[in-house]
Order: sequence, then C-alpha cells, then structure tokens
Amino acid sequence: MAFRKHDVNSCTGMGWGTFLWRLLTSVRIALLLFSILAVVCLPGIFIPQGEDPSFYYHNYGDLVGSLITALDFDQVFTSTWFLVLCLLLFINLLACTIKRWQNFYRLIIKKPSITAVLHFLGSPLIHTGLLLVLLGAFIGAFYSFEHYCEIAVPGSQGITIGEQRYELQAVSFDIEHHPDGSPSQYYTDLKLAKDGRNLYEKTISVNNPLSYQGFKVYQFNYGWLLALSLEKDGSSRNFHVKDGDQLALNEEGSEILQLRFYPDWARDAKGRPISRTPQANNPQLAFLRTSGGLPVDIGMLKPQDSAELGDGLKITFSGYRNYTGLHVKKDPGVPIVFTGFVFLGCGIPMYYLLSKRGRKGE
Amino acid sequence: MEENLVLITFCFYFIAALICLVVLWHKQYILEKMAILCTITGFILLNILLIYRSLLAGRLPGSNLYEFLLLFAWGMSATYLFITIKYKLQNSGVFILPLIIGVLGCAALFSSKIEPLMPALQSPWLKFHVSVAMIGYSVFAVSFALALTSLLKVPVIISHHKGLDDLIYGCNALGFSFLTLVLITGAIWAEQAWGTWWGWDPKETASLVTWLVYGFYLHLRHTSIWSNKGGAILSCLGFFAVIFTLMGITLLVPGLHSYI
Repeated sequence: MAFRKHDVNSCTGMGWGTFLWRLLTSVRIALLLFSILAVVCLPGIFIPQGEDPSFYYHNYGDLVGSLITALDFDQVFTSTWFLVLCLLLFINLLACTIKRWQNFYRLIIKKPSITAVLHFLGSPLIHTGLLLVLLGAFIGAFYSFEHYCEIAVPGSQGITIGEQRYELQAVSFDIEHHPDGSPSQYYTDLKLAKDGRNLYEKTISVNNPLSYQGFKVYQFNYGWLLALSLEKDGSSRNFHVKDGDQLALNEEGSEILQLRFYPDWARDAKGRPISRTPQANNPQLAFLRTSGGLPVDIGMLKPQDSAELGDGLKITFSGYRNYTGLHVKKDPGVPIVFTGFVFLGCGIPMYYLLSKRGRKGE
Repeated sequence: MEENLVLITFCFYFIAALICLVVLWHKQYILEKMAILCTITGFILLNILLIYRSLLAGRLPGSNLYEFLLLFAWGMSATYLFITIKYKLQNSGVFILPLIIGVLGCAALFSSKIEPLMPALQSPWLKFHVSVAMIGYSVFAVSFALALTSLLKVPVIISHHKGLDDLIYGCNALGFSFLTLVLITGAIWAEQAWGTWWGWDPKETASLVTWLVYGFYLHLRHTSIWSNKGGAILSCLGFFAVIFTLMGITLLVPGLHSYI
C-alpha cells in the first residue's frame, strides 16, 4: 500500500504532463477537430475563393461582404486560422500516432497470430500515413516553387529554380485532334539546358510532364503570338502581341490597337467571322483601333499585308507563331505525401480486412 | 436502343421497389422472391447496357455524369444483392431500390452522347479513380439505406449473428477505405495533370468533407458517446455529402473537376 501511495505522489508532480498527454491523444479532441474542419470547408466550397474584395461586396452586399473579407472566408485555405487548425490537427495526429504505436507494441508482446499482428499494425500505419500527408502538405505550402511561362515556338526562356539557372527551349508545339475536331492532346517538344549544355529532352503533353531533379514542367496552355510592325513618319517598331491582347499606341494608353487572330478564317451561317479549325490554314488578323474608347479604324490583314491608317500610321502583320504555356513546379512535399499514400494504402486493408481474432468472423 | 434499355431496366427496378413496399405491409415469401428476381433481372440488363456502351465508345464508361450514374446504379445493385443474399436480409430493398430508381432517373436527365476524352482525362488513372469512387459511393448508398431502416424501425430481421448496426459499420468502413483510395488516386492524377496533388477545388474539398464525416463516424464508434442511432444519423449525413459531392458540386459550383 505504501508503495502505491508513493507512486501516486510521484505522479502528482507529473499531473500536468499526464493531463496534457491525455488531452492530446483524446479521440474526442480528434472528433472536435474533424467537425470544425468539415464545417470551415463549407465557405471554401460555396464562396468563390481568391477574388477581389469588391467582388464580395458587390455579390453579397456590404454587411456579408465585409464579414467574408474580415473572416478570411474569401481565402479560407490560405488563412492563418485555417493553418492554426491544421497545426492543431497535426499535433493531435502526431500524439495519436505515437499512442497507436505504443498500443501496437503492447499488443504484439502478447504474441498474437500473424493476421492479428497485421490487423493491429493497420491502425498505426494509417495514422502515420496521414501524418506524412499532412507533413508533406505543410512543406509544400511553404517551400514549393511555382512559375508560369509562355514560350514562343520555336524559342526559349531562362528560368531560375533555387540557385540554378536553366534554359527551357520549346522546339515545336502540336495539337492532336479527335475525329470530331475537338482537341485530344497538346504536345510540346522541350529541351532543358544549363550553361549551353543539353540536360534533358522530352515531348510533354497533358498528364505527361517533364520531370528533372525534383522539378516538373507541365503542358498548361497554348495560343498564338502575333508579330506586328508599326511605321510612322519614317520610323518603324516591331511588336510581339499575344492573340486576344491589345497594344497601346501612345503613352497615355488612350489609343489602343485590339487584335484577334483567326488561324483558319471563314464566315459562319450568319456571316460572323470564325476559325474553322485551330490550324493555320487561312490565317487572318482582325484589328480594331480605338481612340478614347471609340473605334477609329478597323480591318483584316493576311500575313505580310499592310494597312495604311488615317493619320499615316502603317501597320504590317509580319507573322504568327504558337506559344506554349508551361507550368514549372517544384514541390519538395510531394515525395513525403506519396509515401504517406503508400502507408495508407497498406494500412487500410490490413486494418479493415484482417480480423483481430485471427480468422474471419470468430 | 440504349434509351429503351435504360427504360426497361428502370421498369424492373421500379416493379422490384413496388413489391418491396407491398411486402412491408403484406408479408409473403413468394413476393419477396419476386422482388429479388426483378432486381436481378434489372441488374443483368444494367450489365448489358454498360457492356453495350463500352463497346460503342471503345472505352470503359465513367467519363461523364451519365455514365457514372449508370455505374453507380450498378454498384448499388451489386452491393445490395450481395449483402441481402449473404446475410439473408428482409425488407432491405425498401430504401435502396427507390434510390437506384432515382439514380437511373437522374442519369436519363444528363446527356448520353459519347464524347471523345479531353486531354486531362486521358490517363490510366481515370479507370482506377472512377472504379474506386463507384465502389465507395455504392457501399455508402447501401449503408445509408440500412441506416434509414434502422432509424425508421423497419424490421430487416437478420438470421445471421451480425446486427444491423454491425452491417452499417462494415459498409461505412469499406466505403471509407475506398473513399480514401478515391482521394489518393485523384491526388496522384492531379499531380500529373494539373501539377498539384491538392488544390482545394470545390469537388476535392467536398470529398474531404465527406471523408471527415465518415472518419468522425469510425472514431466515434470507439468512444463512450457512441449510440446506434447517432451512427445511423451520421451514415445519412455522410451519404448526403456523397450525393452533394457527386451532383451538387457539378451542378452548382464551377471548378476544375467539371466533367463529372
């Protein structure tokens, strides 16, 4: 009895530690975090994320709009309180994972059957897997590198990843079509070089990125790059403009040249201009020049054609090229997350398919 | 051909559901057998429909909402038939059969046109992602139907040593495992196609909410505050989240995951 009492006394000193450990490994705390997380995901689903504050005031009214922006409901998943919530979940999960491994150890020293051992191993594996996924997500959120670039084809662009300077060279770009004309795949022939030396070559497409030393290059977008030359009073300047963009003709930006490229120009049944296919079979460029928002000149140009505009400005459509839109990404969290997936993939069937009593049922 | 096949299949499930309702008031052995027989016939027709469609499209179904709903109805029927025959359940079709009818009816509302696959969908992960989703959602649907029988006190009478609550738990555990696989295959695929394994797309987020609801259920079972009624209510809540993820998001909220 005296021995017991001594034990209890020594525990009172650690009371707070025990209490904290009980709290951390408590299933009820996990349940609470589960419910809070599920509820705070809802504004993230229903309220469009990452818009300008004025969007929320306009669509939800002043009161709700100000609440949304004040509570960060316009950027739920990047807000501080969401991060804190995830950290709490991480701590809870970490403590629970440790506890599950302890439980596992306590159970296997009783030497149960192999199936039972595998069943008991399932739960700590699942929790370790989730822990890794969460850890990978944190690392990704803070240390991932992302860059979007558009490269004219053929052409190249330099990118800096970490300390390294690489050169991305787009050799060719191609679209493959289904019989009904809809695009089936986009291809870019890519070369990755460093200090003038080729490191890697690959034809990338959607679902098939280039992967080199931890960073990846994804096929993301494409479009047309238009070459124009503008001539006035004997001096001429060359411009490269993306299809759909506009060109400011004066410094104030009050005079604008709007451009629309039709790679396969035709008219539809109602006489409106369309592009029959995305291939450059009958390329034509439509331009609209506005001054102070009002149209002053309009016209169509074929490649190498020129048009003389009212005030002596000569516009020449010197050529067109594709550009390929590439997403460059490096996320050091991904290997950790995927390792977590392997743990989950093993742990779940072990836990749920194998019975702890050895044989199924009894 | 295809529309007629959907209609005939629909009719068989409809008759099966009607018989099930009749059995609820007027219990008769022969009627019960007829309900099962109608369901099996409907299930066979659904198989023919899915095979026909696969041959027509030259690929497995599951790349738009129409095809997925047919698969969903198929999975629900398979799970329902398996569980009813294995555990010798009675009245278990009262809620699942109307649900299958509803899903088939919904399928008829969406375009059944066979569209070629867009670039993002051209991946071997499509098959895995869709099939694990089909299995998971189907099992959740059966768990929901069983939870309803439990809440509304419909006698399901099990001549097996397992109770109704254990069956619901089994379904939810299996469904949760497959839902986890849905998230994992989706994440690996998204990493390949979009360059990010998790992007808080509305569909992803809704799947996470569903996962949390069932995760809550599975953890709650190990605590002292567990009650069979609470578990049944959670199973219903989870299934609402499933239906919302599948249909609600597609119809209401724009996002990257817009094909299904």
